[in-house]
Amino acid sequence: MKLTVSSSLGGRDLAVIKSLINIQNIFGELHLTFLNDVDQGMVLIAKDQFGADTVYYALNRHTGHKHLIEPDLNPQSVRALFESLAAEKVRSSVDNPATEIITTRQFILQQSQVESQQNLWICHGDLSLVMDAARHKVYANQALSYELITQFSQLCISDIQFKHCDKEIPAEFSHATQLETFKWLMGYSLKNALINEKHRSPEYAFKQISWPDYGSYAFKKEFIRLSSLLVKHPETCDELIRQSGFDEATVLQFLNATLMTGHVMVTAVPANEAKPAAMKESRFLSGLKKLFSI
Amino acid sequence: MHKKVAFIGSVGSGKTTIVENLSNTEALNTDVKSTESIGKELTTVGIDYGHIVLGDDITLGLYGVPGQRKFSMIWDFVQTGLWAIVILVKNNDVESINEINHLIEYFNITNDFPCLIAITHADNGATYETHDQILKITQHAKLDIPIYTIDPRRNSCAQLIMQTLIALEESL
Repeated sequence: MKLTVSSSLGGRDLAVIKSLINIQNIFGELHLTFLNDVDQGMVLIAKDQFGADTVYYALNRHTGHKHLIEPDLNPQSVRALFESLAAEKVRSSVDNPATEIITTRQFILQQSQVESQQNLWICHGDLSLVMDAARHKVYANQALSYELITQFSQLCISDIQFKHCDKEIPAEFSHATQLETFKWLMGYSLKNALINEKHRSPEYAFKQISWPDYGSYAFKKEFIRLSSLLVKHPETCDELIRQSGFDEATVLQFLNATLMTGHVMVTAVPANEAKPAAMKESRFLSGLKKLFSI
Repeated sequence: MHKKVAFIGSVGSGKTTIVENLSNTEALNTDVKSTESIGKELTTVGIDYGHIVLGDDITLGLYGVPGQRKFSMIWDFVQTGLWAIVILVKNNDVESINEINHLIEYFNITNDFPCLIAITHADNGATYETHDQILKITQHAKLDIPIYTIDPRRNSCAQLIMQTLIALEESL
């Protein structure tokens, strides 16, 4: 989903907005572009003056919704604005999943990021799930094995039924799982493609924003090395495969699991920077790698 | 060449178990009977020591060190030749969580230093809150430190810790 942003602000305020979009223009499914023409942006960032007080806001011209930018305009508050715009886009897409959402994984990913007072009830055949994003839980009417989650993940969005429901969990949903673990396994089970295949393009890079808790998730030991690479520097999918030397399926599994759980995000490809030349491995490091089978 | 990895944590956080798990030789420990009720019979009063032989002249010392500030003279002892730090935090133990900041400052931990934080005693309940509290501390210090939930008794967890420290060293 593309969203154009313009601003009537100038000086430092304008520089903050532009530089933030330059650094990161993708928030979830939202792709931001800055337009210099104040009248053209789908979102206008502006300010009102009340005596000595300045109130910054963003006006979504499509929905008419005004987002206050608080406490003032700075990189954190502008970033929070963009994240909230992305969430607003997700909310509006819930009503029309068949056209906006392609796979069950994408649907679960988006729904788990929406702040809602209600749970989401999902059903396919004998399997029924209730997703409670606020409490980080998934409740099911049967045990959620890896095989079952894999089968569920492969369904087309048109094959599942879903609706919002009350917070109270019916008694038959007696199998509870952490939502994070459920989403991790949904991503982990996909090893022949990315959740969103367009992110395979060299225009998109992946950046790790927090370490997955490998003490809690199912993982391959290669994931640890992949995490240590992406936490240092964003890489495209193909560059990550090349640099790590790991097989494509492992890298795709890693990216899908970490994208589903929000540990890795999609970002713009960083400007070409000189990377430090690979140094010869010390005897200390090679001894450790040999001992711990890396 | 002798390098060191320090496992720092409060009483009962699992230092002794991890050092014993990883050491190639029988680990030395300074466990004594506790005079206070701490939920176990023995506790470490000094340091645990084990080591891994990596070659004819290369060893990695494994030091289990108490996490409380009053034992900082022991921290000074392990600081020379220190390669990596593992901070062990008991789930929901507010005192240990509050000590993390001090340890980060004391050992001058940066993103260029192999370090990880391990939450133990996860069977006491969900680790979400402990994890989030630690994450806030590390993010405030602008550190990208792995935070894992582990069971020190399991060899796979000891392996996970070492594999992560190695990956962090490799990406420097």
